[in-house]
Amino acid sequence: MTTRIPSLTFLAALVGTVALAIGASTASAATPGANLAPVKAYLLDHTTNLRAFTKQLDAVANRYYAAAKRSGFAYDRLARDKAVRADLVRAKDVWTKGNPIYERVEGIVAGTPSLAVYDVILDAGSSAKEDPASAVPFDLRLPNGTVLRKPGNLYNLTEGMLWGSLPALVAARADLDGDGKREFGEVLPDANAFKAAADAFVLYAGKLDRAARAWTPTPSDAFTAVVVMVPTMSEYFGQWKTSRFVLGDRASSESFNVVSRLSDIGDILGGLRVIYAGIGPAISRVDTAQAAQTKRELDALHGFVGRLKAQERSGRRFTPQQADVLGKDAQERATAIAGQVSQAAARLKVKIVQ
Amino acid sequence: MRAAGLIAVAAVASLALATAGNAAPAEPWAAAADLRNALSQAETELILSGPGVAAVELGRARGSAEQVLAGRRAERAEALRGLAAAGEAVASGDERAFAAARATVWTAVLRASYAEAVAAAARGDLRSARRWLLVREFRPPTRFSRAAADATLALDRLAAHEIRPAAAAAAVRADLLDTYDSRLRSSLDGFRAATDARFDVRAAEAAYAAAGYWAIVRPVFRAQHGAAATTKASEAFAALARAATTGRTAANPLARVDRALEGFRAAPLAPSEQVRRAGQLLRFLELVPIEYGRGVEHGRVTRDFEIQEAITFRDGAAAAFADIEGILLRRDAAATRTIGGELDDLADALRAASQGGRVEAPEAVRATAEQALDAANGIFPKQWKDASGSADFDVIQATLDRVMAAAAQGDWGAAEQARLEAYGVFELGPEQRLRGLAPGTFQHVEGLFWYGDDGTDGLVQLIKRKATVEELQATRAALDQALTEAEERVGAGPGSRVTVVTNSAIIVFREGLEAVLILAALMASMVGAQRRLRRPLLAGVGLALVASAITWLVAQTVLGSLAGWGEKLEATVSLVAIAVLLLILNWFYHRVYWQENLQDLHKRKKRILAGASLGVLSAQALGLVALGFSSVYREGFETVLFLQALTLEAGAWTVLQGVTLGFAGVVGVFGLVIALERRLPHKKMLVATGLLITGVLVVLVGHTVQTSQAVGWLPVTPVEGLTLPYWTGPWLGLFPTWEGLLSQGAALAFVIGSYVAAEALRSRRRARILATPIGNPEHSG
Repeated sequence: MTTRIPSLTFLAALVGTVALAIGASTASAATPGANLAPVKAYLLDHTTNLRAFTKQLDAVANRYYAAAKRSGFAYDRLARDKAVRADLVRAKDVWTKGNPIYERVEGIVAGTPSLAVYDVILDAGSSAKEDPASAVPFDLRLPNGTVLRKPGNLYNLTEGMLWGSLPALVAARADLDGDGKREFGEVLPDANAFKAAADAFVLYAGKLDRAARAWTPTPSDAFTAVVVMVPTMSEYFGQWKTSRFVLGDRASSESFNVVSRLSDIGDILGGLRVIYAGIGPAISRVDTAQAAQTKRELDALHGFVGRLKAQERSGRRFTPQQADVLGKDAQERATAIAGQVSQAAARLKVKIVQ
Repeated sequence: MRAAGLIAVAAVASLALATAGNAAPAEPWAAAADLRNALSQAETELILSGPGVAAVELGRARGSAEQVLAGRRAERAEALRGLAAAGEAVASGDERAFAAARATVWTAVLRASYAEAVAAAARGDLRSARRWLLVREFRPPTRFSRAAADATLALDRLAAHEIRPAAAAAAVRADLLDTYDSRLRSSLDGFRAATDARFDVRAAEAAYAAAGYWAIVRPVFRAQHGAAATTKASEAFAALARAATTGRTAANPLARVDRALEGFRAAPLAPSEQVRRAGQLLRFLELVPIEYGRGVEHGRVTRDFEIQEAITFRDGAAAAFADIEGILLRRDAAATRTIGGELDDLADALRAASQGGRVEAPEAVRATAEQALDAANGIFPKQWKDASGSADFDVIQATLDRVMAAAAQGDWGAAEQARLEAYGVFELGPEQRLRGLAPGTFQHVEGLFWYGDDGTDGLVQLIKRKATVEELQATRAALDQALTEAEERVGAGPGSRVTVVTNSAIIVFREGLEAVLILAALMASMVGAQRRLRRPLLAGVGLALVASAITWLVAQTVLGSLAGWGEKLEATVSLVAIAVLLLILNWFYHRVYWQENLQDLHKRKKRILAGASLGVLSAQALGLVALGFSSVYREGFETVLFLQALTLEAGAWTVLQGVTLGFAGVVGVFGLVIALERRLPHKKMLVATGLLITGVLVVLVGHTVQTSQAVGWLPVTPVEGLTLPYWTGPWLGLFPTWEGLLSQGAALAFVIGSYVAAEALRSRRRARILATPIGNPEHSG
């Protein structure tokens, strides 16, 4: 299972920096000019939406589980059930719409030490099998008693179940849209795994929401998000390069095949700009030119990714080499932004928690 | 009307011209940002749209390059050549050639900005220096090296008149050279990766970027290696770039570049940084097999966490080695390459174990690490050899990161284990010097590791109650600050001789106080016929002093190997001391109540003397020898470490003065106790002795529990809501944990129980005697 750590990390860094600068009114006293209140408001807006999304997905998962149980987990019979097929199509639609909600605040969550564990759980953590050092901290207990030990993050799990990129959690292939063909993404998830993952999704989205409400953003959180979470744009683009959006059917990546990584990166960068609006004034107080430089470069990077996203949506397919070149460019821009913010942090004596 | 119109037009035209003439040139950073963006856009358009739009962007790039490089003839010429090549590449749709040209243009700008920033700082032109410093790149941080802000902060210090322009220029130069040296190497790594992936566009960009960064650091290379070597290296870079754009194999030029750069460092480390890196190499290498051994059992990986820690320390050792490799190569190239080879072997072994492949035996990993350590110790300069202590703070920080990571994952057992490890490193390393140099800082750090200090909760409490991330972060932040202060204090050395003398005197006095109270109290009671019992007691003391001396000698040579054993030794000896003391007390209380019957005492005295006359093998004598030994030696190990560390910091003579003062205090207490007890009537003297020993026993039990908790033999259960002043720990053995307080309570209960038992025995004996008819032998005693 491919991890999502890099995109969230990088974007969280930038978003976190700006957002935290906006939100922390008490911290503003220590770092004049920083206004981190809007960052928290932005985060809470999205954690509320995230809870709503996970509840929607959970409702579908539980209906699917009930239907599977009634049928004695006879998936061939379920595949012929119109209502079940429609529900799974709905689940995928809900998931697709729900994906960007977290991406837009990934920068804040992943970049804030007190919230970062939720990034691991929801979007960045790997499975223990894949990478024990960055594995999720939870096990998934299925209704049938099976325990999936540190199975990976919840977005990846549910994507893999609904689109079939995690074969171990898929029960059967099916023609969900009734067009007579079983195409990519037309699968029946394992009902036990789907329910357990969806239930866990609701649980942790709720915990994130509560943690976010209790959180007081500080300039340290903001600057840490940028500096510590080293620009990993190349990893995000690396995930994009190995996804279906670039490699098509040759793609072997388990994730990022439904919503393009470019879209995720764009969402994260959008959030980062919101955050930078908060700490920019603080940086301006020590160096107007530096603050202006970073803002300009952040905006340029956002525009750069937005352009690529628009091209992809219009049907353009980039070759792996083109994706590599473009990714490297973005990486260099991101490294520069992070470096500039680290200088500002040093001058403002804002501690970077590493 | 017509004239008015003409005048208006002229006025507008003049205004336009004036405005154009007075238009402020763009700031270097703005022009550089425009240039970079335009080049990026041109490359993107070449991919997305083709030559047309790309050419427009290239035009913008030319304008920006002219602005930023105005006044820098050489770099401007190079940039314009690059832009011309980029133009040709755009016209022919050659993405690879464009990438190469782009790298050439941008690195020319970096070279110009480097020169301008350093020159401006050197002449004290703060405004210009700051303007140009914004046009730069950065070195990405790693776990053990953070993104530097040295140049930025140097300019702030220049502005505050804290440093002179020359010093500011040196800092700017060092920061930027270090950055571009790092970028050069990462470009070469990028070239290798791109070549492997057959991404020729990025490979070309990487090769030309490497050549561009080489141009920045070349003057330093020339100063270090001479003109001939510089020319050879330049040719290798040029060959690499040509190979990248013509598609020829780059294996040979790449190998030549690698050979040329072996051991080169553009920004040589300051001597203090060299020592620090040497310390990191030694310390981290020592820890690799320890962590690995904890994670492997019977040929299987049982704890992934430990393997990851081993990898982290290996990577840290490798990073430190890379920074001093150049110096070591000049000292002994063969040995240096051995170290590098062993580090690579360790990387392979650890990677295989972590990825489910072959699991090397811990002994094999240890052997590899030791070969590297032997080689390092063989070629290190003298002042580097004792540097492993300087890396202790890095190890503590890395281990504290594990605490936080484990806590975040809800693995509180692992968090506590890591906390103990971090504390262990602190206790056996920096603490020894800190206690003498800055006892306040030492207390603060210790408090944050354990039960809290100055209103901040300690890690023990937080882990026990499974605190929130915010609470843990707050304590971690306080601990980071305290450790930074500790590192500064240790690094700064002794502030004043008087401080060192005073602190070492206090510590020697306190460490010796328990022992001397036990000895003085017992010896005071051994009068008359009992005087002989002093001999085994003093024999035990003598043995302990000899053992302490041997420990001093052994510790000097094998201190690192003793890491982790010191506390366990102290705990073990303390347990022996407690056991013997309990026995002695029990015997003692029974003696007190024999005094009421002098005839009984006389009979018993004969028996005691008879027992004593059996010689040193009697149980009493052995017990007294054991008591004498354990009461002095239990603190011997730690005190030896402390004194040795302080001697290194402050010199033997200063430490000797402190030790003498402390020892004088201890002897004074000894004499005072003896004198006071001799003034008391016999029975009261015995009671006073018993009370004194009981008090010492309770303190001893408290310390022993704390030590046992520090080595993981006992759990730590803080008493919620109980906060004790710091001094109650070292002086009274009182720590706010259930294990400590209950153990002290149990010890007290035992002693009181002994007293009650002895009292009951006495009462029954008296009643029996009173009930016996006169004339019965028992009646007469």
